[in-house]
Amino acid sequence: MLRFLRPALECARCAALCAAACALASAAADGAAQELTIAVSRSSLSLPIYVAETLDYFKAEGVAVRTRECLGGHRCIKQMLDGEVSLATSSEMPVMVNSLERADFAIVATFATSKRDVKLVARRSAGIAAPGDLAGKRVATMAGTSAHYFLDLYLLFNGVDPRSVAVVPLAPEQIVAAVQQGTVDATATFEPFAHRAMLALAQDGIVLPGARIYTETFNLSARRTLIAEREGDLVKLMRALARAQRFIREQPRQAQAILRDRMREDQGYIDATWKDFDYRMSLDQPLISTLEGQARWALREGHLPAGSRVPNFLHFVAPEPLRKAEPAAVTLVK
Amino acid sequence: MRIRTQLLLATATAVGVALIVLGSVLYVTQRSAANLRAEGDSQEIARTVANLLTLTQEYTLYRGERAAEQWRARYAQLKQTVEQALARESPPHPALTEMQQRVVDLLPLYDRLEEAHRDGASSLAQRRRELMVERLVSETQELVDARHRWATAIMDRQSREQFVANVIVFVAAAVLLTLIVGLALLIRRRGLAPLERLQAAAAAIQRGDLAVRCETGTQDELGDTGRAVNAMAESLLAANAALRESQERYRLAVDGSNQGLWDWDIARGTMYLSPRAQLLLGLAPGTPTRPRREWNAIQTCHPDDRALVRDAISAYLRGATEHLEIEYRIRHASGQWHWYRCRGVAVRDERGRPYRMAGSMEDISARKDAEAERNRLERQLRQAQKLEAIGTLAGGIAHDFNNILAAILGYGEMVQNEAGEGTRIRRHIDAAMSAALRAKSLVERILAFSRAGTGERVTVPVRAVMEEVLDGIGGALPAGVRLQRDLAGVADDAGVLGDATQIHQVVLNLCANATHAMRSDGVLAVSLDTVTLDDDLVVATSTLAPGRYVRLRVADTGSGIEPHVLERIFDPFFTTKEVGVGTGLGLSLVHGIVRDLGGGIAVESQVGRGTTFTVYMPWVRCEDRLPTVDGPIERGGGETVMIVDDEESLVRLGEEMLAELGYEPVGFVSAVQALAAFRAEPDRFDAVLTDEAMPEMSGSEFTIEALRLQPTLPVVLMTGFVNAAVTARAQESGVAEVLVKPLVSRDIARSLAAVLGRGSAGKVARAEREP
Repeated sequence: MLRFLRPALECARCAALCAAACALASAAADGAAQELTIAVSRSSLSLPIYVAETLDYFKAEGVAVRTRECLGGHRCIKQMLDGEVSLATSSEMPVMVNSLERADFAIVATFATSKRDVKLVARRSAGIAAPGDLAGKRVATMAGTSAHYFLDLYLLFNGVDPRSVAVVPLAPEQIVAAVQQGTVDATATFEPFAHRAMLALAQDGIVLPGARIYTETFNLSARRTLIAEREGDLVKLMRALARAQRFIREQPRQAQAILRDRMREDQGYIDATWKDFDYRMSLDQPLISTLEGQARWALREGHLPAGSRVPNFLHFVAPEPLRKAEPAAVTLVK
Repeated sequence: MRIRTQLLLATATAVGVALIVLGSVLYVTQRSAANLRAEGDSQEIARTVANLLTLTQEYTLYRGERAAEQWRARYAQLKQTVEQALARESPPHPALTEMQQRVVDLLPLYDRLEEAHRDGASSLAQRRRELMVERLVSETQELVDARHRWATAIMDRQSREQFVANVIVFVAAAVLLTLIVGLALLIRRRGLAPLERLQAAAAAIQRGDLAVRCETGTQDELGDTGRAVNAMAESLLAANAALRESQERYRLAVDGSNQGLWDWDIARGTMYLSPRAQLLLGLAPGTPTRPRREWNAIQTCHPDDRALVRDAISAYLRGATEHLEIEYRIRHASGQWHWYRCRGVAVRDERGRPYRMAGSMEDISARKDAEAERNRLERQLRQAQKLEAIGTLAGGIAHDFNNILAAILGYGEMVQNEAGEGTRIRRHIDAAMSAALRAKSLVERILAFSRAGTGERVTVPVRAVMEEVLDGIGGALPAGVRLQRDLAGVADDAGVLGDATQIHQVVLNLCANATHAMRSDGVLAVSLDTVTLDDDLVVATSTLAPGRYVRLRVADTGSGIEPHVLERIFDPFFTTKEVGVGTGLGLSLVHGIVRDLGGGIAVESQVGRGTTFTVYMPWVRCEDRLPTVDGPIERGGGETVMIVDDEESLVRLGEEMLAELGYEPVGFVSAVQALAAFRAEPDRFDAVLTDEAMPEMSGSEFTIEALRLQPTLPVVLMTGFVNAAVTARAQESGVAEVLVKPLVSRDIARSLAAVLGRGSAGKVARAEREP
């Protein structure tokens, strides 16, 4: 299982090695351009950043922001930790993983949550019609990600021993083909790959009934140095995201259009998944609980090096910018 | 826009705002209640969730059925509370929706936890329990977080709604304030300000400034009122002009009538006296309206008139008389009593009771004085007419009687001449002649009273005549009567144009009456002086014109004259003396003479203390002495004298007298025959004696015809009644002299000697007569 986490760990190490060298460069770049760059995972959960960027909310709030798309939160947060970008979007899992390696970064805001971003899509032809049918099946997922974590929870919740399921680690872009080709029986993957898988499977595909046992958070993380040096810009960034959040709530059709363009998906995808996401700025206690739960899961499942300890995740949360921008959004006791 | 419309709009706006405010208040109240309920639900959820957490931990630790039972009970309560809150919220807050979902999510987790417990102690079961507990805690925390967000949302909503409520209240207050201010400004600008201007205009009109005009620019009620006020001002202006014109006419009429006005407010007891009325009373015009008592104290009514005034006013106010018009006396401010005529009318109430009385007053003193003067003059005129009538009657009788007496005296004189001295016939004829002479004297006195003028007047030195008369009567006074004379008051040249004999008669008669009044004891004071009158002087017999007068005063200390007698003392034949003592012609004669002289007589008498007669005679300067009237009878030299008289006896008597005097008389009883004889022989006659009063031709007419034939012919006219007309007619006709009958030889001798140019005597106006 540890191998599933290797890419992430390697990335973390590279980030640690390059940290010193890149810190100066990124700091110089940040300072020179006075621009915040955000590595944005291409996901429906990133919609607030898409909206703020599209509607120039960043500029309106007085902060220059440039986004850089990346595939998956692990990659995004790696760019942030490597100093390539100022901030990164990711679910809480990459944060938890990297927290075991370094402590020079922190989550500054949760700007979206979802209980249904990760779905279990199965092939009917593989004899899967209910969660209990997964036992003995091959289930593809991105190892060490929130999708993997969800898969474990899903199996346990439904009384299926995870060890009875053959987890096939695949990259997100490989999953759809694998499911379609029948190399795996099912997959636990997040959007938009779940949707694509279902499209690919057509009548053969089934989304197993989801247990709302996991709330995925989508967060914006930054290095401590940047948080300390650019707190004012981060506050403006928070305000721009809060505006975007209100825009999404108040103008869902326009927000959907923005999302459709950025995701390069059709309206079918939007319609199928729109209700699965909750775009709300927050920093709350469940984030810590989820991080801790994932850490315990990773330790228990052996995804982390032996001897690792669950860190104090409060140290990986920097609530000041959000508190200054949206005081009510911060309910975390810190 | 009409004020009514404006008010309706303002009222509608106010009602609208009030409804909005009311609706807002109701809405806010409703929302507050909803928020309170939501807040209660939120708190209930918080308590329930906390209980669920506790019970989850209890169950995890002890796995007791009680904890599970309570968990489920609390869960059911939580679900119900959330659903109830959801039902109340429309639209539901996302956090509440999320809570609902999370509540739903809790139960499967708990079911799985119980299931895991039941699975025993396998590692899978253990992992499942741990996972379920972890998820339950996490989900519960998320539920808590959602509840917190909902609670925050409720608070935010409350804040917003409170803010909205505040805004509504503020806006409503602002709107109301704006409305009130706007309405106040509108009322001020469109209502009060025009109303104040209207009021100011009305006040100005009330003060009499009718030139002021109101604004009429608006088409509302105030504009209508302004136009109405302007129209009223125009009407008042026209009415005032008419009133002023009327008042001017009235004032001119009142001023022209010289009348003052009074207005008595009976109810208030005040009296208005116009300035003119005050001036009429001699007062300086002051406060016109005062208590009536003050005016009554100022204008004192004559004591003799008070009852008249009181009775007249009382009778009028009672309605007994139709008009009030009184003439009475009020003491003028100068202290004199003035006559006023007061007219008035009363204003009565519906029961006929007078409550106001007004009228005019006029100073009629001049009229009253004029009336008194007119009455006096009327009395004087009646007296003069009476005296004239009596004089005419007496003169006529005396004239005829004089002719008879002339014959008696003529023939008696002849008998005397023929009768021897001491004979019986001579004694008889002497007695008859004496009686005839008394009769002649009486006739002369009657004629002197009755004639209104004499022929020719001369200047009489009045002081010399007075001395002569007083010398004559001094010795004839009774023993107890003392004569006190004072003639030093006149100069020697003081004279009267008249006849010395007349002066004699005046003094003699006045002294005789005075002596008679004093009987046998007293003082007879006679004084003479001159006086100059600057104004008319009213005396008993006439009104004397201004000028210089010789004033003769004859005063006695006798019994005085009773007032009722004073009015008649100048009447002929009126006497208070015993029968046979007085003829009643003395004062009549005096009056006739003095009137003939152009003077007058004043009488002052006090019964028991005496009487003073003051005779005023026009003063003239006198230088001549009285002519000597007595002397020897001048006889004729055989001249032929024609004598003409319609009385044959007088013709015969005349012929005999002329013959006795040495003339050749030719008598005619007809003037026509005489004129024919004269025409036949104009040069035959040296002189003519002719009567004036003849039936065929008067003496004057005869004289004219005769002088036409013989211009140098001397003509002497004889008449028993001489007045100014006769004298003038005689002079115009060329008569040389007028003789008054009855004639005696001396008169004829003197006159003929004078006209024939042979005697020493000049023309004498009339013959001398015995007094």
